[in-house]
Amino acid sequence: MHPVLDILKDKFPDAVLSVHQDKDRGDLSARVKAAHMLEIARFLHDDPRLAFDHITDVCSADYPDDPERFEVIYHVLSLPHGVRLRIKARVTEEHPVIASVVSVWKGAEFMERETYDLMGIKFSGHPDLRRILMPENYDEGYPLRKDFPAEGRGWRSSFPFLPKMDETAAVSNDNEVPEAEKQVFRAEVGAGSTRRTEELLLNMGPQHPSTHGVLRVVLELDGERVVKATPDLGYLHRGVEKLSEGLAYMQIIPHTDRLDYVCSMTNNYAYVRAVEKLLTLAVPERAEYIRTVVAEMQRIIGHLFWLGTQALDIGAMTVFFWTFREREVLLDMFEKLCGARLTLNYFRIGGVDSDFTPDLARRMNEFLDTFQAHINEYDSLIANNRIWIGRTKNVAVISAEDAINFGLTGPPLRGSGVKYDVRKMEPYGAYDKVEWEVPVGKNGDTYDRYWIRMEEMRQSARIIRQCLAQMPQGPIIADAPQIIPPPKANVMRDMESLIHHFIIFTQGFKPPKGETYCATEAPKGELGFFIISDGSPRPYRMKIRAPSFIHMGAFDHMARGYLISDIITIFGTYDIVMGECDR
Amino acid sequence: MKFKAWLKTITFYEILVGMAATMRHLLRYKPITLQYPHEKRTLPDSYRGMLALLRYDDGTEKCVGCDLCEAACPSRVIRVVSSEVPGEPTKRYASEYYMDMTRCLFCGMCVEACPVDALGMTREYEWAVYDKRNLLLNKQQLLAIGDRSYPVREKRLEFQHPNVAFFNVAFKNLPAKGT
Ligand code: SF4
Ligand code: SF4
Repeated sequence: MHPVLDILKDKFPDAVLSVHQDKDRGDLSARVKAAHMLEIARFLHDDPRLAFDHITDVCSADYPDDPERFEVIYHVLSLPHGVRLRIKARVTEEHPVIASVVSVWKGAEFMERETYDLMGIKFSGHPDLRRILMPENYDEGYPLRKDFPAEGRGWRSSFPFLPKMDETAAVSNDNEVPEAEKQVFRAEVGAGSTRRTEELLLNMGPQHPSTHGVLRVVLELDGERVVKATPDLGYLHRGVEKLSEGLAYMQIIPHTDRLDYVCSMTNNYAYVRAVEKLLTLAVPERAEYIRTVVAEMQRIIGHLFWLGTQALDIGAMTVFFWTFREREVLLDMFEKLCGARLTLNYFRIGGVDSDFTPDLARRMNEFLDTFQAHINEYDSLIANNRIWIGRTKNVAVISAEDAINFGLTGPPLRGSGVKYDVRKMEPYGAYDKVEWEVPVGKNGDTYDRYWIRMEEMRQSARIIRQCLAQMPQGPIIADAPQIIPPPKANVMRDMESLIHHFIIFTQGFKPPKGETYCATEAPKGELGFFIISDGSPRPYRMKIRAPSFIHMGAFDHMARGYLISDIITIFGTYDIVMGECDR
Repeated sequence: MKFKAWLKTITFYEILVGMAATMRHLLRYKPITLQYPHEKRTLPDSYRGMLALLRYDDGTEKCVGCDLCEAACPSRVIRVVSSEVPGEPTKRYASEYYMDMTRCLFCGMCVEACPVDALGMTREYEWAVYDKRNLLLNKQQLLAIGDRSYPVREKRLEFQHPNVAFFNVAFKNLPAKGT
C-alpha cells in the first residue's frame, strides 16, 4: 500500500471507507464519507507528509441505480512529493450536498461551480454557487445526469426559447438590469474603492476581439481600477463530455480536436494517452517518437500563436505577421503528414495514423535551422521594447503559493517559479530520452510568462531535433487486433482481419472496467482526461480537465487592482482558448 | 552601467534594434501571401477535403452498402440504404446514400472504415454555399465528385494502400493471401 493511503487511513479510520491502489495504472484513490470531506481536504493540504497543495480537478459521476447516486471526485496533486490522489465521496439524490473545499484550495471555486452546473451537486459554504457553463436561467435540469438524454432535447429549430426567424422580435421595455442581478458581479463590501463615489459595472465581451473567442467579463471599476472581474463562461459550451458518453472510444478523437483548436494535436495526445492508460496498452517506440515530435511542433505553433496575438493585443503588429509566417510552415507540414491543417485527427489509440516520412524530417530540420534566428528576431522586436515592458512587467502578478492554490499549470504556474511540468514529473512519449530543461520565471508577472513561452519554444526545437535524430524504425501502431483496426491491406485479403475490422467499427472495443486520470502537458497547461469505464464500448463518464477553464478561476484574483487597459494583457497571459475553456 | 542604460533610454536604442529587424525584412522582401482565389496552393495528395464515392475502373460503384461508414462516423453525417443488386441476390449495393455535409468533421473515419475503399476524400475545398440545404448530398452528387477527382484519388489510394490498385480492376489479379 502506498504510504499516502496508509497515513490517510490511520488519521481517519472512520471517515475513509476504503483505499485503493490500481495495480496496473498506479492511480491512488480513496473513498470517503461526504460529511467529512472538508476535514479530510484540510488534512491533505496541511500535513507536510502529504502536502496535497495543488487541486487538479473536481468532477462528478452519476450512478442512477445506486442508493447514493452521485459521486463527487476530487483530483489532488502533491507538488513536493509528486503524487496524485483521487478522493471520492458519495451523496444521495435527495440531499446532494457536500462541503465546499474552496477554503482549502481556492481553485476549487470554478470546478465546484461546474460540478453544480452540470450535475446538480450543491456545495455548502461555496462563496458563489451559480451556473457557469449553462445559461443562468437554464431550468431543464443538469445535463450530465444519466437521465438527461445524450441527444439533447431535439433540434435547434424546435426549441421554444430560440427566436424564430420569421417572427418579429419581442419588445424589451427596460434596458436597465435589475440590481439583484448585478449583485454577483460586485466585490464584497470594503474591497478596493478609495474615493467613494460609485463603482461602475462594465460589461466586456463576449464579442470583444481580444477575448480570443467568446468570453464575457463583467468588470467592477473604481475609476480606471478594476475592483472585481467576473468571467462569464459558457458561450461556446458544446457539451463534449456528454457527447462522448454516446460515442465509441475511437470516435471521440476527432471531437477532441475541437477543444483547443489552436493545438489540436495535443488534445488528441492527451485523450489517446488516457485511453491507452485505461487499456494498459503499450505503444511502439517509433510511434512514441513521432508523437513527441508532433506534440512539440504543436507547442511551437501554440506559443507562436500566443505571441502573435498577445503582441497584437498590446499593439505590436509586426510580430503577429512574423509568427504566423513560421506557423504556416509547420501547418504545411501537418497538411502533408495527415491531410489537415487545424483539426488534425492524427493520433490513433495505440499509435499514429501515418508515418513521419524522411522527407518531412528533412523539412522539419530545415525549419529548425532558421527557427532559432526567428525567435531572436521576435525578441529583438519586443523583449526590450519599453512599451512591451511597460505593459507586461509587474502586470497580473501571482505568487507561487497562490498559483498552486488556484490549481494553475503550465506557463502561468512556471512563471511564478514553480518547476512543475508533467513531461518531467511523469515522463511520457520520448521526453525522458532526450535532454531538455524546464524554464521557470521569478516574478510571476506577464513578462516572465512571455519569457517562459519563448524559452519553451527553444526547448521544443531542441527536443524535436534530438527526436528526429534518434527516431527508430518500426511499426507506428500497436498490434492489438481486439482494439486497433487491422491494416486496410489485410482487411481486403483475409477473413479474420475483415471480421475484426467490422467488429471494431460497428461496436468499438471494450476496455476493462475501471477509471483513470491521465495528465498531459499541453501548451496551455496540464490537460487531463479522466475516464470512467463500465466495460462497455463507450466511456461511462469522461471529464476533461481543461487548463483554460481552471486558469479563468484565478482571473479575478489576478486582475484586481490593475487598470482597465491591463485586462487585455491579463486575458492574453493565460493563453486561453474558449473552445477548451467551455468545452 | 547606469550611464549606458540612460544612453539607451534617450536614444530609443531598443526601438532602433526593432526597426533594424523590420528594415532587414524590407530589403529582403519575399512575399509569402498567396493571392487566393487567383492563386491556389497545391495540396498534398493526402489532403482531407470533400468526401466522394468512388467507382471501379469499369464504372461500377464500389460501395456495397455495408453501413460501416455510417457506424464509424462520429457526427452522424452518413445515411445508407442498402438493397440487393437486381437479379443478383448475393450482391448488395447502396440504393440511397446521403451525406449531410453541414455536420461533417472531415475526420476521415468513414474512409478508414470502408472495407472496399468506396469512399475517398478529395482535394476539393471550395464548398461554401448560400443555402445550407445544398450541402445535403445524395449518391449521384457524391459519385460526381468522385468522378471529378478520380485521377487524384487513384494516386492517393495507391499511395496509402498498395493493394487497392488490384481492387480497381474489379477483383482481377487478386494477390495471394499474406503477401
Ligand atoms: S469525415 Fe468524419 S464526420 Fe465526415 S462523414 Fe466521414 S466520418 Fe463522418
Ligand atoms: S461507402 Fe463503404 S463503408 Fe459505406 S456503405 Fe459503402 S461500402 Fe460500406
